[in-house]
Amino acid sequence: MFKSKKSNSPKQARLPKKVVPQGWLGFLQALPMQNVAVETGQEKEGLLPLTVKVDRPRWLVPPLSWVLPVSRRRTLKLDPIGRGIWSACDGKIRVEQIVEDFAKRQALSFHEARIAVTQYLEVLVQRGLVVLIFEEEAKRS
Amino acid sequence: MELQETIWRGIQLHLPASWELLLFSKQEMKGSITFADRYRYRLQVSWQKMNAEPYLKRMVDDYIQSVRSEKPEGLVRRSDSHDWRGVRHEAVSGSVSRHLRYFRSAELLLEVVEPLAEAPCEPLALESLLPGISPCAPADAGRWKAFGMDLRVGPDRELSRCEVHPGLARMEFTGDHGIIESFSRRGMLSTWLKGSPGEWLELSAGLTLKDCRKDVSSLYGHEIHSLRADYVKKPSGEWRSRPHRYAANAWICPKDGRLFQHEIHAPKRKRMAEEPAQGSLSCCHQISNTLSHV
Repeated sequence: MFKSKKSNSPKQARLPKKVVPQGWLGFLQALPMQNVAVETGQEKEGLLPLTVKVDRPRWLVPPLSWVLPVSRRRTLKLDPIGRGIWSACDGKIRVEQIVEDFAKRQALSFHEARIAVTQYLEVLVQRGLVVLIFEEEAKRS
Repeated sequence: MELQETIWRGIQLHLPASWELLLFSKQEMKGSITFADRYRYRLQVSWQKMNAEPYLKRMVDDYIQSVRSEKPEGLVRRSDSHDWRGVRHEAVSGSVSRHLRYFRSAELLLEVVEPLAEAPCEPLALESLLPGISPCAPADAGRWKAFGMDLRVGPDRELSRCEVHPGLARMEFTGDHGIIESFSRRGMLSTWLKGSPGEWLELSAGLTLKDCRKDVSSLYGHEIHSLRADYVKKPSGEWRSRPHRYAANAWICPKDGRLFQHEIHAPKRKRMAEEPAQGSLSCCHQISNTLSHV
């Protein structure tokens, strides 16, 4: 943007050197893959429960663990839209393709679909249900 | 290359149809909008209101000098085109183009930046796009065209809010005397729309509406649901509630498949010329052409 110290005086206008931030190509090229340890439950009221075992928190040691009922399993219920994204995470389809399919299915623009899918994948990754394989990792493996 | 028209803050842009508006400023005096293709940001257009023409030549010279002193390894050259003063900085990491032009009639300085190319992308002929970037004609004052909506607002309206989420674009304008006018376009209807747009209008108002008057009209394949009602609201900064009027139109565009909504909240004491005017929100080319003639 133009830097202008106080007023709109033309003498003070300067061209800045900052350039707009770069893209999201790396993420689009990633391969999402389901965690094989995830257990799929019985679908109920259109929601599909997925359960994954989680590590015991470091602070959860006896005698605290004897009294605090902290579950070692985490469940996330997927709605039909989420299920579509989850089922596409097979380690072969790139995020870009998932976004494209989602955009077609929901009649959204590419970037609308990209943001929706990206946010959803972030949740799945945070919950340990999905891992993302990036290009360098894929080459290495 | 198919071009698509975008109008934002009185600036008209004809850019490739595959580019989407991803970043925007709401301010009138100074701001920018950024377009992206599928993989990266492609173009940033910045504006600044200036009551006098700036020394564009000096600005460009200063920029070239500072780039040369800071990054001597790159090649910096002038690339003036179509009344735009430009600079192109080429380096191993990529290139950046900047073009500047002052529009005296609109008292507007525009800068077009083609950001640093990092990812592989189709080559951009920026010079061919520059003539398509200019302030709007006076007849198009108050017109906005973005996020699939083509809308017109009165001269007293100011863009106060703009939210864009997957499947939802909403622009809110505030006018004199506490009038709020908003336009929205909503997608993914199968997941949330239960019933008709008319029923949804009543629910989405989120108000205790009185004296509701509903109507449905058909216009060139578009079934337009309208709702007029009264409600009581306590304006911020006031100690007592005041009667307000709510007027809204909603329809599903058969071509686009999305729900369009135009609503106005206005204090009742004002004479109710504040009705969603036909043609102030257009969803598709067909309705845009027809409504403008109604």
